[in-house]
Amino acid sequence: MLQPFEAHRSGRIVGAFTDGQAGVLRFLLAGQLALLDEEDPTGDDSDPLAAALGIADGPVKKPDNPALARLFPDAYGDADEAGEFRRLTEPDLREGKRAAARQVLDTLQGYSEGDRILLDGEQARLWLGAVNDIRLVLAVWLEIEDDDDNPYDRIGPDDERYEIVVMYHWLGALVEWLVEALMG
Amino acid sequence: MSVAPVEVDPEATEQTRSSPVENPVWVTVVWNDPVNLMSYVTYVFMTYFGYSKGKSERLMREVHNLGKAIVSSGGREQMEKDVAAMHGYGLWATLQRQDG
Repeated sequence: MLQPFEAHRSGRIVGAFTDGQAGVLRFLLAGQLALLDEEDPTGDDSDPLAAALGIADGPVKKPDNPALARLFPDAYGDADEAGEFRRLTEPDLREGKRAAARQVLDTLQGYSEGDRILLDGEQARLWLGAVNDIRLVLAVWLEIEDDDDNPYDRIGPDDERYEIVVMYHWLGALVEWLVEALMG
Repeated sequence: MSVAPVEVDPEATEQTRSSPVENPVWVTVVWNDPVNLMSYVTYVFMTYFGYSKGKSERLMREVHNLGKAIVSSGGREQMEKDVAAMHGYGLWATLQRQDG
C-alpha cells in the first residue's frame, strides 16, 4: 500500500493520497462535521447572544446518538457531577473536534493525485485527532466492543457495512503512520 | 486497544504527576477501549502529559492489560482539565477521588 505520510527532511510531514483516498477522507470528514452538529444545544438553536458571547451552556445529558456519546463520555460515575462537567466542557470539546475536522477537510478540497500536502507538527496533530475521532465513530457503527473483535471476521463483502470495515482499517493505518511520523 | 496483547510488565508502576498539595487528591483514570491503537495511546500520554516514552508505554500497557490506569493525580480542577483533554484526544477517561 502506498504510504500516505512520511517525515520529510524539512521536519515537516508529507501527505500524499490517491484521488480515491482523498475522496473517502472528504466523505468521512463531512459526515463527522454533520455528526458534531447533532444534539448541540449551543448550535444554531441556542440563545444567539449567549452563543455570541461564548457563554452558552452545554448540555447536561449524555448524547442519545451512541457515536456522540463515545466522543463525549461521562467524566464522573455520579450522574449529577457528570452532567455539570459536560455542561462546562462539551461545547469546547465539540468546537475543538469541529475545528480539526474542518481544517483537514479544507486541506483536502481541490486535492488531486500527485499533490503533496505539507504538514507542520501542529497540523499533523490536528490530522491525527480528526482521523482518530472518525475511527472511533466507525467503530461504534461496527459495534466493536472487544479487544479481540476483528470486524473482518464477522462482516463479509456482502454485508452493507463492509465498506465501513475497510475504511476503519485504513484509518487505523493512517493513525499508525501519523504517530510514527510525529514521534519518529 | 486493538492490537494483540503484550506481556504484562511486572515492574510497571504508576508515577503520577505531583502537583501543589491539595486535599483531597483526585486522580484521572484512563479506561481500556477496543479501538484506540496502542501507539496512539502512548503518543497521547507523551504529548499531553510530557511523560517519557517508557513511562507512557507502561501506562498504556496497564490500561490495555488491567482495563484501566491512573495517569495523573492532583487537585480536582487539574484532573478535570486532564479528563477533558483525554476526551479531546478520544480516550475514555474519568476522574475520581483517590480513595474512591
